[in-house]
Amino acid sequence: MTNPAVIGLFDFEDDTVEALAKLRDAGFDDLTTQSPVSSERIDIALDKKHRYVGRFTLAGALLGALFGFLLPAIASVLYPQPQGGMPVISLPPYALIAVEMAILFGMLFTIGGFFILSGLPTFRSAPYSIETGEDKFAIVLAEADDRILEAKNIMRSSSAVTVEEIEIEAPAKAAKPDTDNKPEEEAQT
Amino acid sequence: MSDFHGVYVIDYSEVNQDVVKTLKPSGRYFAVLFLFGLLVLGFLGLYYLMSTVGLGLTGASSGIFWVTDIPAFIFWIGLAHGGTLLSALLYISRTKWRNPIYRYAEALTVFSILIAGLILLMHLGRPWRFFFILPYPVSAGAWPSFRSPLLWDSLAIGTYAVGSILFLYLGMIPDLGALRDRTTGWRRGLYKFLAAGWRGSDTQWRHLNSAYLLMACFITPLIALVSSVVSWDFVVSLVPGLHSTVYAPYFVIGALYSGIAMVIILVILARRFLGLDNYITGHHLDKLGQLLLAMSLIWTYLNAVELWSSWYAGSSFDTQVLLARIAGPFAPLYWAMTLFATIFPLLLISRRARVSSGVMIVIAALVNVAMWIERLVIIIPALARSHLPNAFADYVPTIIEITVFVIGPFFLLAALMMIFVKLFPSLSIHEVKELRLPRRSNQVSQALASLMGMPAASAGHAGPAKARGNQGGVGAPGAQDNEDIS
Repeated sequence: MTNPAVIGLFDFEDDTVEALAKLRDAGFDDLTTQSPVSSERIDIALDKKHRYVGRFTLAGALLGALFGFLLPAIASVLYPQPQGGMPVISLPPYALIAVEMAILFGMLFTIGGFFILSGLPTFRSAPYSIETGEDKFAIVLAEADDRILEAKNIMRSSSAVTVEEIEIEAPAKAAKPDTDNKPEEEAQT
Repeated sequence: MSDFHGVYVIDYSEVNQDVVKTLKPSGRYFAVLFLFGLLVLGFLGLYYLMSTVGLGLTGASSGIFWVTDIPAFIFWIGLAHGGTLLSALLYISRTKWRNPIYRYAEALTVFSILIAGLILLMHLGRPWRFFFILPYPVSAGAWPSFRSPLLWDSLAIGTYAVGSILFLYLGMIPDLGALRDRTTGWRRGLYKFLAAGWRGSDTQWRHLNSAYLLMACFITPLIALVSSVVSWDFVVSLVPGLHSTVYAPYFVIGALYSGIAMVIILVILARRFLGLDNYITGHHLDKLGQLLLAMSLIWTYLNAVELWSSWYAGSSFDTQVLLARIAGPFAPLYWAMTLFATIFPLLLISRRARVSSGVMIVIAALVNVAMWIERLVIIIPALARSHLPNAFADYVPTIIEITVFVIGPFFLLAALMMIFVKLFPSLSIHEVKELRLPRRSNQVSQALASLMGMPAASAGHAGPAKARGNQGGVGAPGAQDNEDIS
């Protein structure tokens, strides 16, 4: 089962943002972009501002702090090593270890959160243009249904360099990798 | 300032091509790498000899039980911090001139911390027992002492090493994706695996930016934490000359100072040998020179504070150590350090000196020599002038010791950096491109400049016209006039 989809390539960030605004105004919502650089203007145009990585970070840091304190505390209680009248659970050194572990776990959870939220690692083929790794911006409209022509026209009106129709596996998985990026004759006109 | 100051054109495709070019090794490259490989083997061979014969091969005596291994360890930890400052702290402050140079800084951080760890293992004498310093029940179910600074040290350095490697990798993912699409053979396989399916989607970029910022926020305080913990190895003892409250900030600043100096050396070498003149310009050297000068002044102040407080306290034990440093057997080293780290860097007040590769590389090298000496004159005189006169000792390092702990690690760093720059993108492709986002407004300013007969437009992405002729380079002054440049 495949769905028709449209991928348009643009030279400029401005054109991409303009096309996104027009597509959203026309009622197309299932839009994603690919780009050689990150762009805040594209995020705003897509109205995607949620950044959840910080939640993973916070969870990791708290877990790390707890681990960093409890490990020496429990070990000291189970195997006491009296030193110069110091308490068995010494706050200053154990707090230092807690800070170190909070940082370590916070970093590990941040990386883990990034991979999970970004859908990585993935080695499946998906609609992708290698030119977006160099100098082009791409808009992928995943579910164009019977309004493909309208979507293509909107992209072209925003100075798209090429606009292609592709088939992708429903609901959003890859069926036909698009890596050659040869523009259709139709798109050139 | 208008956009027309200086030439500044980034052709996005050209950035990819230029980075791919840096990955192609030449015959001369392999010859130099082979030479460094031999030198590293020699260094490891001498270490093997030292570990089997024993500390008699060094200048150690009953009073001076630490020789050049501990100063070397502190020095290499310090080098790592300069990289972190440039990559993480300047990222948080959105300092754009870091973009073309920070990858070297991050690589330096990773390799320096690994070398510091290696020296720590060498210092143990019996490296196969290294797990004794980890929080792990090692003997009869007993755990290491969590109150020992050595344990704090191993955890801090371990955290720093893991964090630095992850930070380097995270920032490289988009570039690995770009290289995956432009390479073939085993390189393509390597980049495909490491890029993990990166496609540059808006979701991926958004989460990458969040994660990278958070990682930078974690890595930055690690600079202070790791150097402070290393200084506490000495400060929490009661040894005269080491028991000083100023050592934590002194170590942090010394670390940043030597690290920035090493980044300058690497950046100048990369500019020369990787053909990245268009990306790393006099503008970057100027900024790095300003940073180095600032660090020099702060370090000089802290050094003076350390001297003054030792003298003013009036403790006879501290005075003995102080005299050994400034007027005793260690005086030549101490005053050489002052000359190299306080006097010569004052040349950087002149912008002409800062933008000169030759002057900068000489000053940076001298700063690193000075910072190596600094660690030596902190540790050894304190051990050589302990509480009782009968514990006083003289110290002369041996050739083997100097080769293993002073010179050898530099060969290892050179070999690792050479391998790194041919395996991975040494220039951050996406962050260089981010200096100038491709916008029509930029292209219009470029066209206007041409019409007005100005030297060149300061447009960003060349766009369909594929404008060429970058003479000013990335991060050149004109670039800062654009709204994307801070």
